[in-house]
Amino acid sequence: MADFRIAWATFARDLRLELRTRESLNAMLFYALLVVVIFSFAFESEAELTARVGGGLLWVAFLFAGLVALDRAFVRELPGDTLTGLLLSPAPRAALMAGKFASSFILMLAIETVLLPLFAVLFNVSPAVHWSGIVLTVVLGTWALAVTGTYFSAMSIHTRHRALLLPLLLLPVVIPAVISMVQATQVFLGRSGVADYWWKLLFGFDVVFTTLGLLLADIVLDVD
Amino acid sequence: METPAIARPARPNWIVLWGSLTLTVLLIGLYLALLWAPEEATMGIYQRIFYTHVPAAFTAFVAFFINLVASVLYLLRRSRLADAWAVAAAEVGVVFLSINLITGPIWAKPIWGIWWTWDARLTLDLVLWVMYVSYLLLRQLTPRGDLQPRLAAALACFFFVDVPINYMAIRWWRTQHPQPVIFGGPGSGLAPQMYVALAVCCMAFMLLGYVLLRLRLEQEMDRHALDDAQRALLLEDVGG
Amino acid sequence: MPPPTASLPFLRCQRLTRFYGVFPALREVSFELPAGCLVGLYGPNGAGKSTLLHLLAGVRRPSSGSVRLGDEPAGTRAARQRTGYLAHDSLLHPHLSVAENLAYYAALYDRPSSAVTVALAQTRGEKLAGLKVGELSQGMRQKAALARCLLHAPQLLLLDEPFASLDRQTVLELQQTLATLRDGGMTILASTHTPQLLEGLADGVMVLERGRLQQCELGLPIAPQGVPHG
Repeated sequence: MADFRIAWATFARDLRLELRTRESLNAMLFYALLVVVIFSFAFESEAELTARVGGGLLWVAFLFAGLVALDRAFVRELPGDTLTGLLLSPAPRAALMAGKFASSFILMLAIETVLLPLFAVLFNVSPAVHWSGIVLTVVLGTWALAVTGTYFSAMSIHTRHRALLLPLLLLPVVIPAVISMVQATQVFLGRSGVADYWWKLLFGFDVVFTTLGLLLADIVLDVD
Repeated sequence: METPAIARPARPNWIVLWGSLTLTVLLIGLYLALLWAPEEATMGIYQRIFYTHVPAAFTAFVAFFINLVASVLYLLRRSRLADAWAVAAAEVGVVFLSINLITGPIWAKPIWGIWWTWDARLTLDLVLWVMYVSYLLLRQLTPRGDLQPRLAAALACFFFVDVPINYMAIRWWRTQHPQPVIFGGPGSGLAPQMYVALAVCCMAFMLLGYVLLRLRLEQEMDRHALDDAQRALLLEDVGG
Repeated sequence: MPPPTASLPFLRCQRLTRFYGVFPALREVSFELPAGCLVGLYGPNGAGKSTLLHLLAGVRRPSSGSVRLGDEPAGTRAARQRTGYLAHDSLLHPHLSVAENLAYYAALYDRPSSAVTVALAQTRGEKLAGLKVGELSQGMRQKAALARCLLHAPQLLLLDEPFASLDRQTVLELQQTLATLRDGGMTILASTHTPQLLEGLADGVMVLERGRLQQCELGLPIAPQGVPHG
């Protein structure tokens, strides 16, 4: 199907671009690293504190790092003005958007894969922690951020102060997802409580906003 | 060279009519709230701020609902009027929700000793406020044209879908981590006169909201009319 | 592509107007172009040439008026599939190779990957395939960009100052390519500051001034003295 080919080609091209010029990837990773390091200066990193608020700390670090990756989603299309090339083409906007969703997701996941162990070490996370639960939360939560973030990245490419507007648009909308991610992660770090309800909410958020983002892709990926 | 005539109903009439109506109801509401309604048993005189706090929230929610409907209408019809309704309603909503969020702590502090609590309702109000402020920022930072209303309307759709999810998340969050419930906890009934005072104050705020909304609406439509007139002028201009 | 009858209007513009804010960049431009012709678009800076091409390509929407390609309004998927647009920017990503860029556009326009080789051959840019776009000279980039336009075998080709900063050899090759395409039935509209470059090549001329179409003559050879310089 032509649409899937477009989505896949967009996804592959985005990743190829990021890998080809490591500059932005390196900067993103280092920025994420720095955030975690600064956090460990700002907050006491004793195991006891981590068990109580580690969820929040982790996800704030992921958010900061993620915003850099999300901004790239359409800034990547500025050199050579390839954005005009995309809008010029008959490609269905939902297909383009789907490809971008996927590439943002993978990029964010890559950064988090580096951050998570670092966080575990710097913040003295107990080795007895149920890691598969945290991983599932990370996957569901990252998709939520990637989808909404990519959509608002497309929206803010048309505006002034693009890099400033992206978090202003994204953060209010993802509040329920952030609550869910943090609470679910906290369940495993603090080893108490149950994450089921939070996972269901995150999954619901993911489904709803993926659908909405694809349905409304024509609005933001449109000419003036 | 003739400028095209701009036809519009005479403005002063509606402001005089609705303005005086609003002022009247506001004064009545003020009297009812501050003097007529009985003083609440436990909270004393501070409770009277409730007559501002609740109607402000109510008006804000109505305004945001109008914004939603207008945004969807804009997406379907691309009507400038629908967009004008959307931006006017959003601005009015933010103003009233701000009043709501400010009166909350003013009420809470003398009675419960804390400025803020993350109780479910207050938290939802704050989230809604943050969302619509970002909406207004988006509008401000997008250049004027066809783009601005389009992007704003898409954002409004995101908000609409987000609100129920927010409600569920915050409710469950508060169930897991209970916080002091300040406003309208179980067992807090209202005396009949309080309901009357509340209803009148709600009506007063709604009227005020209507006046503000309509003023903003007309300002927006006037701006469009002005732009149209300028464009028509510049289009004809052969020598320039 | 079957050679269409030259008399049927292929591109129809009616009262095309575009405002930027309150400033009219294009004022009620109306014209018709048949299939299989090469028309030069002239006019001083700020006349609205780029704006007109943007509207025809679907890169911008008109404020009022209509553009139709055959029976399709511009900006629809069907119209975009039939339109090629050569802009000032190459619309190719500098960090990817020409082949990689074109392969992506082949996916966007739902064309087989073999279309890339064909398009590069048409513009005589076969040797550019493996090179990174960022490392190309202006002339080479132009060829690659033109290949991008031709990938989907458009019926309408729009060129925004294609001869700008090209060397003599590349100009000649471009002229030949355009002639071949026109003879194959493509409708080509090219804006340029130097009408001499289209001399003997173009079938018609359109002149824009301050957003208005001052002159539109088709089916006549270009007479350089009759065309005002920008």
